[in-house]
Amino acid sequence: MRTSSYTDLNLRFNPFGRLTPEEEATVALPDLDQVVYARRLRQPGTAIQFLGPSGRGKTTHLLALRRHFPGAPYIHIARGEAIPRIPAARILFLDEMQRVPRRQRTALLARGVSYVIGSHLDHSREFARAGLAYEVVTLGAVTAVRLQAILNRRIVFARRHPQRPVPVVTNTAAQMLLACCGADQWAMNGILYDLFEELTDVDELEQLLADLLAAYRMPWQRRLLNLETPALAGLIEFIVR
Amino acid sequence: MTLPYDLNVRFDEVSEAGSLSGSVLVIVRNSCTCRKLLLHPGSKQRDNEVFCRHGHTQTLADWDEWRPGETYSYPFTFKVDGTSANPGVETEVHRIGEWDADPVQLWMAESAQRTPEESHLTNEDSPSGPAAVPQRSTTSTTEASSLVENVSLEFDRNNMEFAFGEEITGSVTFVPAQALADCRVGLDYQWRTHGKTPRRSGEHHPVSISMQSSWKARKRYRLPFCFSIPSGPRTSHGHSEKLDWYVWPVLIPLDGTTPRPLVQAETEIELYPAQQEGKGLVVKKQSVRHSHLFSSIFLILVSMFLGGVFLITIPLAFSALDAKGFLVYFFFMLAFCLFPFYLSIQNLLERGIAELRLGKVRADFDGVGEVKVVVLLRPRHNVYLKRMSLRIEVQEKTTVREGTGSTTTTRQIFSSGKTKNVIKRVSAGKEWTEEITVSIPPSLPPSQVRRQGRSVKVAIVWQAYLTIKQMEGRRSWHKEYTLKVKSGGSQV
Repeated sequence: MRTSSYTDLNLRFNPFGRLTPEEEATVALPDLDQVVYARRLRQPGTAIQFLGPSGRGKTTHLLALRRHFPGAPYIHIARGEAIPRIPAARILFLDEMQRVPRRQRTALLARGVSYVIGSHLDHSREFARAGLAYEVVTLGAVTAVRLQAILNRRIVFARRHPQRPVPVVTNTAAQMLLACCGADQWAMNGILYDLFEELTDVDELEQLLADLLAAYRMPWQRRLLNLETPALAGLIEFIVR
Repeated sequence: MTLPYDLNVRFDEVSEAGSLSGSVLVIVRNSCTCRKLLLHPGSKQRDNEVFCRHGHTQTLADWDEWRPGETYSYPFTFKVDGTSANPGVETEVHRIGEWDADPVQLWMAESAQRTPEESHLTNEDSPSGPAAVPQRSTTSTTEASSLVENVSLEFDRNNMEFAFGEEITGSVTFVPAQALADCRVGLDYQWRTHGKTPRRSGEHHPVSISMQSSWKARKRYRLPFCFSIPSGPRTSHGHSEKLDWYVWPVLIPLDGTTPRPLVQAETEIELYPAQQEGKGLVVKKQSVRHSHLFSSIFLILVSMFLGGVFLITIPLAFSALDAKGFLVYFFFMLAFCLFPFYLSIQNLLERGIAELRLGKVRADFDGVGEVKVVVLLRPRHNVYLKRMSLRIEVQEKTTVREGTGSTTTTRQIFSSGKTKNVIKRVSAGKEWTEEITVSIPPSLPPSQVRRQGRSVKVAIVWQAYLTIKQMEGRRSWHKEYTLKVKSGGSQV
């Protein structure tokens, strides 16, 4: 476990930790023609919904699009928290919209402004009922090349000295992550965060990732011996001995 | 064709691992939006003048707004083919409003820092390449970085650990890229958190370190500094949250506008309370007494009962062999199920005996910058002690509440132990004392429970495991304690 800074990796912080919304927008690598969407959103009564399960890039797309509207409110509705007051604005960026109760959602859409929404559920019927011109963008699979670019962009963001090397996610590493997590980039970020906590050499990333993923795939008996259950592991060891 | 920007590529030395890094520098003349800046790594073979692309194309910029007068640096790294004589890269820029890509330019590492060679397309306005352009990460955007050619921060001490309120001395060395007027050079410092938790940061403290306000281009200046950092918060490195202090030089305009940071010289320092305050961590005094008379007798009785059940089952199973049918299967299955259980009975028995022999044990924990335990025991019987060990573990327990259920993830942040050989015979009824100490890094977080919103709770738990091994018996005396560790200084 790392108890010092990331100087040995030429990084300022763990690249796969939480970033501020502004930083997230900077490192975002959206695959949409944002200019077209931004132009459309300038017309009041437009809704663009990014739809997909967790970790598919809904928040990333939302924040990247928000760069075209500096000052527009971005509201993330956190799990288990009270719904915050949503201010009056010409364009609203609402993340995790499915957590807003239906009645409140209807009232919100009745405002007739433009909306950019990230949600796990499809709200097209509600948009239609509110008389909004809408488009649903379903976010799904990602290729290894694109994933590699997304992940390396985060690493470069955390770079300390531009002249010195940083760990690089190779295509093989990206493929390993895809095989392990599917398209869930939250899960990948979690794995890579832990990996960067252990990493000491810029060139060891791929090897360490392979070891880490192998540990995840271990049969339950071996995991039992290796992880978190010292009492049980001790008992099994004793029996074996 | 006139391009609205100048482009140049800088290469570093090839690393031992065979990777070549460098950066693409873009000096923007007229405002434009870069749709994509692609980099194709490749090489020229010894006997061939043709550039061959290999490896993966890297996307360095994607939908970046390039503002006039700004300089952007896009770092890259790629693996060099071992057989290549001369590695290089091709740069390809796609701009909004242009139907085709701008001319593809070829840059060879051997001839770095010069104008690009002609590649697939001719670039009539090929840039002459700036002699020295300040490096800047694509993300740490700062206008001031382009004003200086080189800047560095040097501290008088090699050790970057400082105490609260201590004076920090050193010097800033910088070379302006152009003549600067009406600005002073200063330092700024701030604490910031990073990790999985939402980011927090402290106030900026810009301090001027020179009265001079005009600086000549390309002249090297060395400015000593001396300032004292306020008391706290202390540096702390947990798993999901880390707190660090940063110091960096700034250009302070005389017109009172916001200081402009020179982030390329940003340096981390570690900040702890002074030594007499515990240099960060103080173990709260706590004394725990154990008398295992009843528990050990209980363990012995339980193990005897379970052992008896198992031992009775075996002959019953064999005797049932004559009686065909259900009983055979029943007794053999029972014996089979009880077998691993029986093996653990020996542990219970030995542990019970070990505890019974040691009698009353007292463990006193305290320490400043270390965990110290003083063990005092008065055995019921004569005991032969072999060794004593203390292991300290710091765990971060994150509990996420979802609906009615919750999930707890435990991460070990730190683990360290010490073993002491104590070959000693202690007579029954006599007192025996021994001390053992484990040092702890000051950057560890203290014991705490903090909440992130309503649904996430993060607890830092300090555990101590004390073991006393006796000559007789295989089982050691073993106890687990939860320590209370606090910060010597103020906390966030």
